Amino acid sequence: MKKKFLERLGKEWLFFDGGTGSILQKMGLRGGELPETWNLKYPDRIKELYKGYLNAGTDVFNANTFGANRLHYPDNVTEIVKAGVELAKEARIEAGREDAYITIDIGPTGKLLEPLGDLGFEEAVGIFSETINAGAEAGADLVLIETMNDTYEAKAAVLAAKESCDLPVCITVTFDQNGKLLTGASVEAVVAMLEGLRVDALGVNCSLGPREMVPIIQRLVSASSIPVIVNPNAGLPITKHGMTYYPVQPEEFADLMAEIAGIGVQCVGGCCGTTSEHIRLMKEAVSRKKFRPVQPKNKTVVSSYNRAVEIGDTCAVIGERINPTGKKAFKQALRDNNIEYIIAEGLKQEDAGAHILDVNVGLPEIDEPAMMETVVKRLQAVCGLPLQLDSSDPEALERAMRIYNGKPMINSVNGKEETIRSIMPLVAKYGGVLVGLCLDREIPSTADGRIAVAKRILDEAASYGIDKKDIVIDGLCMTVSSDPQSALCTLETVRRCRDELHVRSILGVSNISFGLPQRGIVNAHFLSMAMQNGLSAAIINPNNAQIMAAYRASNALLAKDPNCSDYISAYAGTAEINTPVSSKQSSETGQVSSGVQSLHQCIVRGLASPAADAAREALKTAISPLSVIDGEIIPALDEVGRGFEAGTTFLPQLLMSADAAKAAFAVIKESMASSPQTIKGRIILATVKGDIHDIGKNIVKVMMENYGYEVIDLGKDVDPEVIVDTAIRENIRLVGLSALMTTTVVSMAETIKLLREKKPDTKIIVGGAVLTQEYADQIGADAYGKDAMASVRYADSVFES
Amino acid sequence: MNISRKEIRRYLGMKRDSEAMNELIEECVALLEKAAVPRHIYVRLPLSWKDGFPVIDSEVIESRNLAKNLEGCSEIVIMACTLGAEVDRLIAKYNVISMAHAAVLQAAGAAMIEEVCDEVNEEIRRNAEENGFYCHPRFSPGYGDLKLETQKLIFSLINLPKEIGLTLNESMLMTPFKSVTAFIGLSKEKQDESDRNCDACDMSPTCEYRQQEDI
Repeated sequence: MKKKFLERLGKEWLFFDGGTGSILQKMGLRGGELPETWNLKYPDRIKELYKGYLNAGTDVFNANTFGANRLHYPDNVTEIVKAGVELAKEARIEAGREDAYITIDIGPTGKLLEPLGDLGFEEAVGIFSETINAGAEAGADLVLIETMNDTYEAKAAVLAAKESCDLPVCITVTFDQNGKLLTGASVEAVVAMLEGLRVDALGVNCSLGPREMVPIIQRLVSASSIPVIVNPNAGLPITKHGMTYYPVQPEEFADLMAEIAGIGVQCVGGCCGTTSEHIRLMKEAVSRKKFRPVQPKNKTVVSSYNRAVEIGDTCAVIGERINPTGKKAFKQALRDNNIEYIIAEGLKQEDAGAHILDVNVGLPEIDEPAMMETVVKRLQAVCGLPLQLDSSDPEALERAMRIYNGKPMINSVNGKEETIRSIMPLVAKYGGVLVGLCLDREIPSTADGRIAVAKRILDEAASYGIDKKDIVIDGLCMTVSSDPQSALCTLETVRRCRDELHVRSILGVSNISFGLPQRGIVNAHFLSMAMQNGLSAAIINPNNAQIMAAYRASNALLAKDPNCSDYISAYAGTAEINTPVSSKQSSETGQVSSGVQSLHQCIVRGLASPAADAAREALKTAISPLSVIDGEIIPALDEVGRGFEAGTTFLPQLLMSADAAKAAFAVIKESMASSPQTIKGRIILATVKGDIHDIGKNIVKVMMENYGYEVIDLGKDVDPEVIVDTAIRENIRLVGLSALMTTTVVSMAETIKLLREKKPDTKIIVGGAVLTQEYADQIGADAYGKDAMASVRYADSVFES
Repeated sequence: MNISRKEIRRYLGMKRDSEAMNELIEECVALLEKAAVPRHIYVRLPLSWKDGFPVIDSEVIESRNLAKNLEGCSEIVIMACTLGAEVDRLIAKYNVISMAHAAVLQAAGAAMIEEVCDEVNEEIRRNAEENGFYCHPRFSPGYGDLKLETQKLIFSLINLPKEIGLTLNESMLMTPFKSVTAFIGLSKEKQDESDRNCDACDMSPTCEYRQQEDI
């Protein structure tokens, strides 16, 4: 009886087929003609293609479905896919090769996924599912996703495969010569995500020839714990007389592939430019080589869209600041749906040296699952750090894990049955490194008790198919002020995780000092001790200079920082860090403020962090926070604004001042958090439907906010209905619309028309590169904002009247 | 790569050099150079004519401005360049933390993609002249009366998503943002070099960005 694919994968050489497009072109496929149309038009030619590879000895061959999706075939995708698979089944019988496996071949959509592009993640899953369903129904043996150059699209395709059928899933991606996907992912990041998603084999295809692929294959083999597939082109393409051809001939290809087989891969085949002859000779050459099964790597790795971060022998820094616990301003941002504030907290930590960001947005009065999904989407659009998804709500975790672009950390489960049952299946499906807390119905007070819980978590994880490398144990940091033994117990647990359980560890370090003065001192020393006991990841505040100093110094002292280079690059040439000064602010941030310039000066010169310091100083002596705004910030902004209008100050300077004023406002707002704030008015800003340029709108937004307006920012590519509905619901008096393209001014006109109809009392100001006063009049706007200052002046005229 | 600071200032509407801004501009250029992964591709195709309009791969392009630009050409090069998706992320990041940086990055990105195009254009010119052809000034969808929909034709002729990671959305805008596609006509006759792209553009009477000699 025929062996199943998975019974052979990783246990013997498996041979994949070669190029399709290049062969069909020889048979007469025109440039621009869709190859899959031939499944219906020229079935005999497609069978001939298949049989060529079957006769050459391929074990796995692709049904002609690479581009068969609803974007290319809106009317008959199912028919095309089924025909491709049916023909493969016939070819297999006719060639006497019923041992061979047919793949549903899945190529990229050619669209970029949101937020960079306009294809939604679930829409992509839907597109792939349709093709895979059709192929599975027709009787294919496995799914091969190939030529992927974006991790996010690859994830959508894998989820589609897993959710549509029970077939094995293999995937190959396309790296450039620098070992990156087109969207930036490293080899290790790709491996981490795909292993997490439980694909059966992964690898590389297309773009490069076998020679150029060698360094990438070496990295793949040293990162992957699952079988590796290598399907190169027949060299780099050469264009001569308008024709593209691939230079590596079958004999040379076979030799090179035999060398590659020796690196430790398990499956080989070809891609563009390779023919049945390439595959035949390759099979001969590779079969002579000794087959080596894949070795498990036991590395604990998380990833983002572009990078992998190992939680290993060197302690990783996990930024703790995206968390509302004990933070008034953060809680308010959550209630106000102020996502920008939260994203900015993340970016600050990235700049301060965090390796991973913890994301906790739980607050009783908000919809946590929706907020979690939004924050993760927004954060991963601008930040390259892997995320630790932190919630006690399994729904929030699942929504974030699903749309996460990479392999996340999950915080957390504990020894209780219900957390294990609700969260471990999610990790088994989406992948991730799971934090296991050493607590049960209660918190064990001894290291023995905590290690026992850790063991149980590891056993449970194994029963869900989650490897030990994907668990990190939290030995629990309990406040030392209430129990003098607590730090010792935690440290012993950390040490025994390393020495006895051989599992990675993590701690929320800052808990240790709760209730004590000068918490930074205790945190910093405790971190050093924990690192000496083998801590693998520390959840800390990377913006705190004191704790980062302890972190860097410990790494140097524990031989984790060769030549002390990180330490030196962080501190060479800096002034001695003084003992923390007494003011509350300074001890919290651990920063020492330099000489303070006047707030007015800071804003005019556009210096953001000095402006924040100056605002703090000003608050100490001012009669009221409002007097700082009216007496210093507004006059400074006006000075810069007048300069801009006169042409003596330029846009970047105006914006630097705006950023500085924003920093000062943030400080003042915090001091008034409890008292109601006055605003001049509320304004909607949006970039119109069809247009994705938002810089102009964002510039106007920052200026409007500085001048005391509350801005409802609807973003870019906004439907007219959304703008009108929001204006009605919020009773908005002024709407600002932005469009950059001549083509999108049309949708600006539509928006204006609809607004006039449904909410005639609302004023409309328009702006954007192609607009002029005449154009604005023509489409019926009330005003033309030629720049940000003009827009502010108009808003003033509307709200002061 | 030498990104023109003059161009950056021009895109920012700065009528003259400003000492105060130089530091910010240099910081942004450095950020951009780190993030950008410039990629390009071009193909050379035969060009025919029908009713006075150029025809590429049997599709008639009904644009008077392009027709004028390609006058006398028998072949055409289609080129595409991009700075890559990381630049979009970089700009999106600074939209959150500093609008001043975001605006300068935007301008520097525009200057950089022009520079990339110039370099690729130069390579195309050299290749063309080696076999006896002269290049006409490059012309992009969206210039003058050449419809943005022409992007569809370009994307059908070159697999841009696969080759350089460039994609087209529903509104015919490209992502990554800092990307350019263009036609370059090839003729046997040398062209009058004084032809300027601005002359073909409807916006040129009111354009603030119009190429000026001294900024």
